[in-house]
Amino acid sequence: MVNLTTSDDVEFKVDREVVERSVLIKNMLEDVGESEQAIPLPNVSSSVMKKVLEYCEHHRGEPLPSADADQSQDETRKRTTDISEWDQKFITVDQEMLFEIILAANYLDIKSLLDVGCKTVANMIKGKTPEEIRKLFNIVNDFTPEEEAQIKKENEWAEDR
Amino acid sequence: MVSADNLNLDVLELIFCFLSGNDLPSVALVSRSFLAGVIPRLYDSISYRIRQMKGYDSEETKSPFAVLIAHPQLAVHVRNIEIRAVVTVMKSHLNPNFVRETRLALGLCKNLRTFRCTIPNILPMILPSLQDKERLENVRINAHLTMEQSKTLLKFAGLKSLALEFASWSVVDLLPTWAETVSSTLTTLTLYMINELHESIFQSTMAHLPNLIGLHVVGCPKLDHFVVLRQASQTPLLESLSLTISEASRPLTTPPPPLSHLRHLAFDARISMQPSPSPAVLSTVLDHLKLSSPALHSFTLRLPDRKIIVGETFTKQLTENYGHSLRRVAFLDCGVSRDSIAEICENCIHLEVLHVAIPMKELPPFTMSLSLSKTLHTIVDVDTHVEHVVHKALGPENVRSMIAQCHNLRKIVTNHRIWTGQPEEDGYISVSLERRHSQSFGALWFLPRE
Repeated sequence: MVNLTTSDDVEFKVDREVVERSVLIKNMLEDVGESEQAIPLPNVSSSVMKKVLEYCEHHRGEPLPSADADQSQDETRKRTTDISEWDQKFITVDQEMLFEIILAANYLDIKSLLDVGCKTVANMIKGKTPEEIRKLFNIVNDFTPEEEAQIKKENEWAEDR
Repeated sequence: MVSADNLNLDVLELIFCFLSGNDLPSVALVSRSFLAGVIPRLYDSISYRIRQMKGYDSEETKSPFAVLIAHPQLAVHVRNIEIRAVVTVMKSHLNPNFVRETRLALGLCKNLRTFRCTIPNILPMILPSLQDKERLENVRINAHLTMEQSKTLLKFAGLKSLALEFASWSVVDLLPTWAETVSSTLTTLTLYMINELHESIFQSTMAHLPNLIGLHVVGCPKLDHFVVLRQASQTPLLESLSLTISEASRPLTTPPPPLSHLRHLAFDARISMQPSPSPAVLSTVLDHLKLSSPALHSFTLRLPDRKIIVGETFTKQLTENYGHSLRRVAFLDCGVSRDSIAEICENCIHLEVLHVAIPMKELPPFTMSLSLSKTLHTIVDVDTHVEHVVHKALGPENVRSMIAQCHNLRKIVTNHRIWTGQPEEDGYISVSLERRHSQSFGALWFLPRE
């Protein structure tokens, strides 16, 4: 069992096999060995940690992606955004939680969870106009009209009509 | 509170990696942080096609190459460039301004991995910009070059895949030397429509490339299937092979090449007669490879005319030899009878994808044949509908009924559309439609697909 402490001082006791889905924690445990002392995770709150551990529990024992596989995947032009059924259900959360999960997965280095989160956001963006994307994420347009016109003109070649 | 706009840059980049096409320029216009996050993905691949030419002369649009010159810091992200159209003046002369932009921009892209230029004329002028690309791995060019120009090609030393189209004699002459310089890296070689290439040069080229896993020799009149199969004995690791089948009736060299790893086979049958069922020569080649290449995953056949029908004896032979292993079968520009489709669907027990002209007039019996497969999930319509007849297009009701009848069918790809259907729990099939992007066009038909 491994002890973890989240930013809001909540302690979690987790199976080593589950928590080792996180490459960050896996490396820590390999470096310092298992100890009674809790691993502090100042960037993750307990509500997010609960979700992350639910994911790790479900996917325990699955092979971790190797660094090499990652590289070759980056090279393929169009990456699939398919998400398995369980992951889909798991990631159906409100926007703030979705981004919190993505940030936690990035920090804890859980590649597969990070992918699920990023694919979900990408799927939300697909097919939308810039204005619709701003509305979706509550983003303020911080370009001047001139800048906007220039960016539009300079990237027009990338439009596939 | 975390929101999309204050995610850190590397996370935004990861998200946008899953986007493509029109979504990328849309994301660029959202906000400064989104623009910064999308730039690596947006500039990763540049494809210049007819669409991109529009508005160039009137300066309504800028070429991506002009943008790279204006913002040289973007060039570090460019890894793939494809030139499939050029701006011309008076229809035949290259626009000198466009050529200059392209040449300068290519010079800036130090991280270029893939370069494709499938149109003639412009390559000689931009070739000098390509010679210091240390990461260049994949090249496909229309190689009509003079002897002086050809020498630049020797500087492409670390290539993994090379495709030469319409190569001139000087390029052909250089092939054995070039092959020697890339012999430790090159794994795929494609030679397409090269009149000048004959067996002795091909043989000495192949002698340097024992590690090839892909070899595609199509439309080179002096290299028909006799020659290619004979030389393929030098490349025992081949996983994919394309060849042109001629009518000449010479005996095939025995023993057949030992291609036990072969998974993808494509026949480009150049047959002038119109015998039906299909000519015996196809059967002869298929049988020639039967023992040495026992487990094909994909088979592609292209005939010179759609009026020629793939004989049922041939499809029967195909399923007898490879029914246990085939996943993908493609019939391009051929007539395929209903019985042949039924034969393939019933006996290729792992069949996943079938490329065939969808007969709109005979959809119900066609669907019936497809329904014999338990595994088929994708149909790709290869009919390009070149005849100027009003063609009835596939509608949602057609798609729904096809998916309802075929056990595992989920996707139907037509010329410009991709239909996807998903059976719901109550038996209703929800159908969705997306546009098939033009990026998927322009690939050589015989190359293995993902």
